[in-house]
Amino acid sequence: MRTVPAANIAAVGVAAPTLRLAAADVAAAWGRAGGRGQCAVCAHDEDTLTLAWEAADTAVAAAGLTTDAVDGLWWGTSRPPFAEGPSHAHLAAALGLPAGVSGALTAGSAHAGMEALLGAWDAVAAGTASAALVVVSDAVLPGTGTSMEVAAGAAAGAVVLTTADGPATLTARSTHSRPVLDRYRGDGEDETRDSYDARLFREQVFLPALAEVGAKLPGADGQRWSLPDPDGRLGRAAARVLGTAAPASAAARAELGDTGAAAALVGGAAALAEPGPLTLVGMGGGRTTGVVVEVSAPVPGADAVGARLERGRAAPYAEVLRARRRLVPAGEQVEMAVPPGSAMFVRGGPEVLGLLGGRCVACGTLNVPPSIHPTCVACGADKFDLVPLARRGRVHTFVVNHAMPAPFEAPLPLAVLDLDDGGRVMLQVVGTGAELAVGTPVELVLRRYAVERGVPVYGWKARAVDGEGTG
Amino acid sequence: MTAVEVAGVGLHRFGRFDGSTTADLGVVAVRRALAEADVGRGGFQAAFCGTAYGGVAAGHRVLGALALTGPPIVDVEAGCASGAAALALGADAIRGGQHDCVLVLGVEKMPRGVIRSSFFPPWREQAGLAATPAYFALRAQRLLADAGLTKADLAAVCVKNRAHGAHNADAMFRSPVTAEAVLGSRVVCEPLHLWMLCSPNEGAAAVVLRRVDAAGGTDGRHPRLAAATLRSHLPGNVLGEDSPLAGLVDDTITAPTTLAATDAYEAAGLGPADLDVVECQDTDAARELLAWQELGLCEPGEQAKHLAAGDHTLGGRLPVNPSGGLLSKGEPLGASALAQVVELVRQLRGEAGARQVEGAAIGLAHTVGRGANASAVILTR
Repeated sequence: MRTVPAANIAAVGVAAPTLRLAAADVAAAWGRAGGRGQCAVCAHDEDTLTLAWEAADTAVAAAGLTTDAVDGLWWGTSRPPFAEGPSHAHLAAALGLPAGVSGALTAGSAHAGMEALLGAWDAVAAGTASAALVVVSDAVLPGTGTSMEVAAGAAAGAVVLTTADGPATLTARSTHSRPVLDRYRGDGEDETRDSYDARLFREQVFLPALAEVGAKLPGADGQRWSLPDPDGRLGRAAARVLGTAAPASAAARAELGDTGAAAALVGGAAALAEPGPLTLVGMGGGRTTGVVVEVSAPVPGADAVGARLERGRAAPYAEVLRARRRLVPAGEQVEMAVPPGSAMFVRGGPEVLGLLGGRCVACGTLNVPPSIHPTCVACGADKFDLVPLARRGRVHTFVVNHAMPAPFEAPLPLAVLDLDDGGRVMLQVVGTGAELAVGTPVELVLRRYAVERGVPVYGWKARAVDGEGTG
Repeated sequence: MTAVEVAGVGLHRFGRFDGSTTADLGVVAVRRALAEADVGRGGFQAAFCGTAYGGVAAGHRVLGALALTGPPIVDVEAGCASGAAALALGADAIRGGQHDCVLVLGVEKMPRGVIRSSFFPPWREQAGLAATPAYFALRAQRLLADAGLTKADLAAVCVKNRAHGAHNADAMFRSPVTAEAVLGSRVVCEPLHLWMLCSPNEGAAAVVLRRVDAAGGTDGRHPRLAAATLRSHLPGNVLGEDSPLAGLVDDTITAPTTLAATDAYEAAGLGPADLDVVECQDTDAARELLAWQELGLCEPGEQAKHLAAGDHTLGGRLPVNPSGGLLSKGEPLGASALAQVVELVRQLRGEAGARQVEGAAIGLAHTVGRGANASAVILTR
């Protein structure tokens, strides 16, 4: 084992999806008794990209950075939104990162999160990135009625790595590899299989791997650590068999379920608030990696982790099945007028994903959206600077639409928003719209608007915020 | 200025007529109008036909079926104001000295259900942002907040217009409704319930315009067309009828309805205080209340007071939509503006029966819709 130069964590952020599914609800639906615990589930408009954006946006803000200072993006997820396609580019654009941003998308197993962390660490250590954003996210689509359905969750975490002094330092790493079939999804398959025997893997695969990795990890004291826990029993078994403390990730596991590629970072994020060594362990695809983080001072963003992860609401099983598109209405689905591959999408995509407006060079008026305003509505000039619009504003007016054709979900709230920078946009609103009124302060969040002809389409939605703090 | 009179009007009642083509409906309305005006083949020198969904050469199909082709026929599309746009063109052709007598018609068979408009950029439909009733509701929601109105006030507009429409044999819905029933109908787009929205449907209307000093003259019993104006929205006007995405954050830009009404008042040398009867665009109940202030019938925010006083109900100070409005008649885009003119003509002639506004001598008809387009027509006796 060679040591690598250290990299420092400047800030951390996490995100959890909207829905919480109670195991008891699922058991009851299948005529089974019992069912303990819960897991986090994406709403119909959330996925690994929207979660990744929220965690990353939070981390960058906590670091006090502007997005143009981030020169590398490493994103690890077992389920990129495009199996083959512009996943990394979408996340970079939504975050407003420079077009020249470096980095990688790692995928293919739940180990992808650790691979992203190691890749970013190497780049920072090598000097090819000065501020690297590491994002890990996962959202399993389990088979309906399987045990994984109440064990697998969804979440995202993000850290900003820099060479500058930071409150926490990555100091050691260790990986163990063995070709065994744990979580699996074949090419073209929708649902992740949990075909492996939980006890066999716990005893014969996971615990030995944890022991191997831990033995080669200087500074890993077994006191504060995080891990993915596919069946909810691995953490306790490790403590008993390997003599470690109970994992710090137990709280996140109880709230969210097993968050796979995101589990190591999401489970350990809250612990970044306290000085001392912290070991992050990620597993998947037969590989196990441990990374030691020496925390010297509270990491910005770590104190908000607990509250962020608990931001969710109980959802009935039927709503979860609808959100996962396991329960779909019969009949015609209305196709969009513009296919995702069309020229209009190619031209208009960046302004939608980046939420851009055209600021008139002559008079300063914001014209939104810029592609359908080649001429300033205020003064008639035709020179514009493309600028990102403010992500906060107030409701000018709104509607809750109950008359949407499939595949739209009704009720669908829409709002015309007056943004803090003077732009006016019309967007969908997250949730049912029950909390809306003229003047309600809102923030904008990335959401999946549709899956059109098999292609996910993303845009911004408004979300009501508490208080009056929209400046 | 050359005076123009409305020499005859005709209507095919509004509703759903599965066995009839667009031309069939138009034939009925044109025959009636020409008969009233006593105009036959060769008696008019041009025709202007308003339609939005009628397809290519809709006017030619109507006049072809009547064997009246030969004169220039111009098909006009201006959204909900299509019929009024045709009327303005016809009136201007007479005032300009080009013609003595012009036929204006409007025909429509609307697609069923929610109006799918090619006006919206397609990607907005993809994003769920473009469905028509949602757009109406955005405007309604803002009006409720600005004018201190409630859903009960919207229901009161429906109750008023449906009570009027009960006396109109040409309307699609001829039963009065209660506020409870309106508020009990299903929510389409909060705050708008189903019965607060007009029904897209089918119908036709026709008007014969004639130069007053033309050969054959007039016996003075025909109402005069004092003004027929059409305007579009000013850039940046966002909650008029234009895309709300297109916005300046500036709500002081004059709405297209006010632009058209101001032009019409000026052309006629009249003002809102002179009016005896008004037909206005009630695409939805809130749209009518907004029209009251945009037309100068009331100060902004005073709608509730006038509703409660019954000022704009039949028997009130200034009845609005005595025909029952679009809420009773339904809305065939190309025909609806001309049907308002038909109603005003009947009112000014004293032929409106149970819905007659006593002593009606000056009437205004208003439409506003996609484009944005807005029109104002003033008739005098």
